[in-house]
Amino acid sequence: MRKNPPRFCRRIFQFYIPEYDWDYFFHSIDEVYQGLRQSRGKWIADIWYWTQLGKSLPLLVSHAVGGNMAMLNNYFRTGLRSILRHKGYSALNMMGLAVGLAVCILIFLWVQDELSYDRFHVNADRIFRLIEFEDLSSGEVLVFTQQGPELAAALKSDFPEIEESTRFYTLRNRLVRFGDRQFYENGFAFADPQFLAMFTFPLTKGDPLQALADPSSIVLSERMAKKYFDRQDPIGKILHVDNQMDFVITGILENIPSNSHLQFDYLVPFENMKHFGEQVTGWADFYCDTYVLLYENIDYKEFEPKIKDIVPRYSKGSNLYEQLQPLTHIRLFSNAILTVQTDGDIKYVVIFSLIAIFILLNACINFMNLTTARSGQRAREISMRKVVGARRQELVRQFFGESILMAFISLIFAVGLVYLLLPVFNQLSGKDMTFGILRHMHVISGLLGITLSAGLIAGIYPALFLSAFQPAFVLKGGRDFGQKGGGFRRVLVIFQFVMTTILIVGTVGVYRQMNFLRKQNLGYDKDQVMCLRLPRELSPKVDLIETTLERNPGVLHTAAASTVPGKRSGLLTLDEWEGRDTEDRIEMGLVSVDPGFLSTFKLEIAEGRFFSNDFPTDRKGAVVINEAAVRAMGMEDPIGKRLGRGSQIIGVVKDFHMRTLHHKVAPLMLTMNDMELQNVFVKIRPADIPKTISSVEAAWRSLAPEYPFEFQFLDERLEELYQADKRLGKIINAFATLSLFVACLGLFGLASFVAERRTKEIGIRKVLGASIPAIFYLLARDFIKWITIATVIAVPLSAYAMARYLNSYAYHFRIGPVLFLIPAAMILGIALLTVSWQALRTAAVDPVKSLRYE
Amino acid sequence: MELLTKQEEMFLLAVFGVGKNAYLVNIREYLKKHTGKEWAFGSIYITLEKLRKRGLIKTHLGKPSARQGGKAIKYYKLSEQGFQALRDNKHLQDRMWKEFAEHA
Repeated sequence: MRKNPPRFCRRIFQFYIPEYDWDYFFHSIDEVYQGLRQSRGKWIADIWYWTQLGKSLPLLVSHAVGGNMAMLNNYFRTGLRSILRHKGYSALNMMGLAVGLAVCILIFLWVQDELSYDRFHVNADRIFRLIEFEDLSSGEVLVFTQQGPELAAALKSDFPEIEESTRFYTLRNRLVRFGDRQFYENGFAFADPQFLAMFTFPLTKGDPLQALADPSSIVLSERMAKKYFDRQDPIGKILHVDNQMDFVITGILENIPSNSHLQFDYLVPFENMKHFGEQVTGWADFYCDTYVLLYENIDYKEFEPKIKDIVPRYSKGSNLYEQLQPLTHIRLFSNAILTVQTDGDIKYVVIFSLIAIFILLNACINFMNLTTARSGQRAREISMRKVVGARRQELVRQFFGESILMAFISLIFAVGLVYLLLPVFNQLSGKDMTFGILRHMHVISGLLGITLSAGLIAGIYPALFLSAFQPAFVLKGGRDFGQKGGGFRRVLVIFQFVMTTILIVGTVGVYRQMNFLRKQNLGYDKDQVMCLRLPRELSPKVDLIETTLERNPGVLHTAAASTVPGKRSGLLTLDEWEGRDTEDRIEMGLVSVDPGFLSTFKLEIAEGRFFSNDFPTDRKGAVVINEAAVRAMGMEDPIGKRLGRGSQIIGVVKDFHMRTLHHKVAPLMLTMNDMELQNVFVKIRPADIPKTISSVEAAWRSLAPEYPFEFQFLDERLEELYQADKRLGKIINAFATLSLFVACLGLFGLASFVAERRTKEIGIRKVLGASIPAIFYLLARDFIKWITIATVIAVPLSAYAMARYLNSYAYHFRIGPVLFLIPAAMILGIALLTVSWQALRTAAVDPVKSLRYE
Repeated sequence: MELLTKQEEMFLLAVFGVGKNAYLVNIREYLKKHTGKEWAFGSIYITLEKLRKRGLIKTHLGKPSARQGGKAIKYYKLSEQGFQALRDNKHLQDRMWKEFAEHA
């Protein structure tokens, strides 16, 4: 028995192949199909048939279009006429599509930028970063990007697959001076001399292979060269760093592109690390990033296992193991790594791409809805065409031509919109994208592709639905075409509002989370605290500095510490404490403080006492821990207990959030080690802050004349740590608004269509005595119903999405009904407003006029 | 002379190579045998149609047979122009490759 191939697929073939060849063509393809079906079964054969279509479709389409320029011109012309004839409707439609496309383009640019990270390196696909893992007995796995400084060289000498390796480390807040210009600089990087050969950071001056050969050489970026030297030639000049080291400038770097994960302005040979208080040998005392360049044709997946246990081979007893991370993955796939602060995340790329698709889909749905809704008005035109002899294919092509033409006109508007919106979007996303990127060929083809598919998607339903009209029926006066497809339209509208609701719930959720964080009790007082940087040489003089500052009447307290709240602190792996009865080791944060820390931050003591200058022994081995540490060690009555190597617990502070609220309060240990104090905190009175600041500045200038006075308020600093989240919130907010706009545009169009179609009915109802509210209800009823259904569908979906998002915070607000009620009420309100404008207008019309209509 | 793309050239050679009774199924098999690639029917059909329109290929309908459900099959054959185009292109390419070999 002969079995038939997929009918729909065959239909599409028929559309493109001239009728006189049908028999012949299908005979041939079916011959193979039948054979395949007998030998491999129906499924395989059907799939084969579809792939046959998929593979040849581009050629079929281009042939169909290209082979018929005259016809194409005709579609273009009729399309344009139809657009111009219904100006209001077309404008509405194209506005929606233009907004959708503009959003799509913006997100496309953003995604493009995210994906372009680190790809500019010539060796991008051969460079890998080493990542290090440590299994804890709790089952937790710690992931680091940093390794002991001897690893890089060991890798290169042990493995012939590795062409080159380098270490990399950046320091912040280095004091750089040339003549009378001195600034604290971030991005002061250390790397091995081959760094510039491995990575593609071109020098505008100097030789990349020799620039770092001499230990006292320094390479700096163009913008820094301009900052310090203006127009002078910097080569050969000497920079003083931290008032203790001199470096000779041997090269000028082109400014590091913003899409590089390595960001630095200064580069000096790695061995200089030792002048900055770090060991450049060993496997465990100090950690830096390690990068390797593999030889060509080495499969890194195959190579990776060989290096896995290199650390234990050199450093006995270590339980660390290594993996390779491709350079091009670093930006988006580093979220699980502890030592990395990144706001790049593949999650955001996916979310934003989805949003872009959603909004574009919304715009396409509008297009389909409005076109099908208007079909009643066009039914006569279509029927006439059919009577005169248009074939269905031609009608289908005409509709596609019309929608594609509209899509392309919208594209022009969209590009204009993008041009206007790009600066705003840059600010929102913290990026530095320029309009010029649109000139690139692949971007242009991408855009044309998106537009073409938008036109095709938008046109597919009208094309197939409208072209199927029976001319005899229509011309006899049959009506109700608008009704047909009503179910489909309803589904589309509901779908639109489901997506919009999800986006708006997302916005509200992110906003509430930000609010929650702001109000969350951090366990310490962050207000009116100035953070000053304490140069290393001044650490011994910290007491003098503090007492001098405290003499100021505006200053309440002062404190010093090794780190700033919110920032990562030192880490310590603790495996010894009194009464230890498990094999577990504890990762504990380690911060050096002075006695003023307690009063400055208003920490609360749970047990024992805090450090005090009255006990000189506090400087030798006394520690204060937090409650989380007590819990982690399972200690009862911790005061006086011994800890680690010769430390004794003198007090327990109540838990406070040393890190951001993304993290749970971790075990923390405070010590009193003057040498590590690098930050001074000044708590000032809320009254007359400017005066206090200037007197603090004066005191600082007299104490440390050779260092610039730079400070930041702690609460502002903390705000910055949530910038990535805020950014996400703002972007989602903007997109949600746009999505709502597009959805309402569609609703508006539909409402006006419904009102117009029922003009006569309304006139009759009014004559028979219906009131305006009753008619309003009649018109708005359907829409209210659809949106309610949409809300019901959207709530569980958005609740799920919200829960996923909040999971990334250790502390978050509780999801309650209010989260959904507000957006739902808002959307319903806005939708009603949109509908009622039309409904009221129709309801208020004099019935005489509506009865005369048509 | 008619310049041919690599693909057109290949299709013409395939039509010739299959010989008598060249039609979609066996042309596809021939191409698969030589290139190892699965060509889609639609693509082959369109390419052949284009070549036919340029006069490089002739077609004739076979006798309708019962096996084919009473339908006639369209057979492809190289036309005189088709042969000429193939020869011209071969000469052209030989010349150009020779120059390349001399200078490379």
